[in-house]
Amino acid sequence: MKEMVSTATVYVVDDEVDLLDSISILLNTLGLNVKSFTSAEAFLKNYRPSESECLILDVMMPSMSGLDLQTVMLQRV
Amino acid sequence: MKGLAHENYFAHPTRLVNHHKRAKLMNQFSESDDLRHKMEREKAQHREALIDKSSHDIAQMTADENQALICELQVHQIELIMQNEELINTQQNLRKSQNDFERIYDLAPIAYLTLSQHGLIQQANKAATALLNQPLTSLLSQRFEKFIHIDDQDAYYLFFRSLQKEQSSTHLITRITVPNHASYEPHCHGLDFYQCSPNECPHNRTMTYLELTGVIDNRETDEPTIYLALKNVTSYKVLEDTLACLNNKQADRIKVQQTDLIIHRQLLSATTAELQQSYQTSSELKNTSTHIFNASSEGIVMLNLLGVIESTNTTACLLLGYDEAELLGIAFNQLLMSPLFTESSVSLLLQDNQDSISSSYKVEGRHSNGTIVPLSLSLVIFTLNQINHFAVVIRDNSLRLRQEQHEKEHLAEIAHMTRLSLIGSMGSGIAHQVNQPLTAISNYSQACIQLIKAEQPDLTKLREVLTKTYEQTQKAGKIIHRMKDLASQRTTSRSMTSINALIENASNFYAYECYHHNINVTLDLNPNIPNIAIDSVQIEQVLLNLIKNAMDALKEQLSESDKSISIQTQLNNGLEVRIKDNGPGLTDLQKEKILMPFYTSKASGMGMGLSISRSIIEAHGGTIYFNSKLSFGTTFYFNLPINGEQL
Repeated sequence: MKEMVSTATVYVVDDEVDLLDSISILLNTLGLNVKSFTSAEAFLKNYRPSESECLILDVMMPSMSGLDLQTVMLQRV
Repeated sequence: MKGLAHENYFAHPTRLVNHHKRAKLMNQFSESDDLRHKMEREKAQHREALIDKSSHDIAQMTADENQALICELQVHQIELIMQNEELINTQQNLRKSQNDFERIYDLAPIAYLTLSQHGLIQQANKAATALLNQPLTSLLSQRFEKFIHIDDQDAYYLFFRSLQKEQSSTHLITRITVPNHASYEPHCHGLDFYQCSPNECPHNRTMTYLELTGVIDNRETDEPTIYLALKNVTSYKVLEDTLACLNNKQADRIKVQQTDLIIHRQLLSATTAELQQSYQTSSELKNTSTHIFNASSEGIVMLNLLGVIESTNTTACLLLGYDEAELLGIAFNQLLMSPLFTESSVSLLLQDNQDSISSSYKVEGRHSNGTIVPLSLSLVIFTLNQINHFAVVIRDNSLRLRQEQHEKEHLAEIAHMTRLSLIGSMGSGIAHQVNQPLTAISNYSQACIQLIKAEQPDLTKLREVLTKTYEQTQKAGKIIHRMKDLASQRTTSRSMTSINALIENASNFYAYECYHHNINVTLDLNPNIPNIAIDSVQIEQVLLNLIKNAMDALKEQLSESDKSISIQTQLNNGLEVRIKDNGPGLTDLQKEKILMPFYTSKASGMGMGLSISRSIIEAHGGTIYFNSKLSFGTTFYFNLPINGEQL
């Protein structure tokens, strides 16, 4: 895989800390700018929209699920 | 001369005495009298011969004859003079003896009275005047009966009559009205013995008592004279009365005491009967309790506070292999591998056991054949006759342990079987749980590959990621290991376990499934709950079972309403775990049968889940129960004792 340098940010949201950590490290080693959150609420609180971004969401989370967060984000666009 | 003597005789007051005296004197002179009478007779004849001669004859007498007559007259004259002298002499003697008697009469200590035949006092001696307390002059011519006490008048009259009639001496004891001047007041013993009051004493101690002795004399004259001797017997009579009074009182007292004694005897025999009755009852009771004592399937030993055996029952003897006689009097500690009764433990027991709650101990006993017997002891302190004793109930744990072991093995088998079916239902949960570390490992290993690919690999980062990979494999391995534990047939073993950690693990297995059924699982775990000694696999089985039941109940709910399971731990009666769902709740029939084996409401169920859960919890010394209300949900609770000793 060719290493690339990008200003784009990948947001990872997962309540499973181990999974969150492993995904974050993997994306990081791939040269991506990664921001991780353990809950949808924490993400919404810290989210600052930018030009290009990517959201990786865990579906099964307590309180707000990944699907719910997706719906919220779609509404904002 | 004779007339003079006679007059003297009457003039003298002591006529009685003089009469006798004179007779005696007459006797004294009787011989000379006889002689004189003889001479007088001869001379009288001669004189008569002379005197018969008339004056005429005398005138005619010769001178010789006259001379002879004169001579004879002279002889007579001399004779008369001699006689007169003799009489004067006698009279003097008589007066002398009369004076003697007068003195004796007046000095006599006994009172004498002379009475007329009509009872008038004619003479009294000095003792009599003193006794009657009147001068002689006023006594004379008084009636003696005037002095006699009114109550004794009749007796005196009879005495006087018999004196006149019988003509002989007669006795009478009588009282006179003259006060007793001797003031004879002996100390009466009644004052001490019978608490007599001197004022209320019926005996008049001022009265004078006399003993009268009387004779009558009617020889001298026609008018008889009565002579009385008066002896003062007051002191004797008072003594006699006092004695009689005391005797009566004593007799009365004896009578009263006798009555008292009879009453006491009756009371005593009643009490004796009562005692016999109660003795019989208590001996029957004792027999009964002895039978129970000996028939008890558990050994019972009574100890004193020093731990010395006072009595044992037959079971206790059998348990330890001794005769009762061998056990009595020895220290209970000798029967144990390690002493239980020390000074400090006994004082501790006395403090803790005021309310006679029994304490339990697990000890090792020493059997007479040398083997070690595991025993469990229950100790109760009781008080008998104000002395504390220990009652030790001994259970043979080797037998009990065998039984318990057997039950546990049995339980373990059934638990295993039900666990296998439980694992079947956990499939998706297990997959999810294992999948997570595997996914993490996959991610980490890809990251490692990326790190190695770099021209200058960041070895620090690489090591960090590899360490994390290792941790995830460990995590996956643990999950597999636990699944293996749950699935395997194993013997029970207890270890100190955190119940909160067990709950987190168990809920994780069902987290995936719950999510799929829109069931919200919340945990409210008290962080202060200590680790307890439990068989973690079996308790986890219980937790899994209860969570699964809650989940199943909620899955049936068709409505899209909130479905939730909340799991709570708290310190309440040991440790309490609460698993609550807001499902449809249980019907009365379900409530009745839900804990029984082979009862199930599920098409695929065996009906063993709750039944085995109950057995597991009870084997851990805990209890399991539930609350349920139709359309409100069901809550299951179980308690486990925190004190590991009691498990």
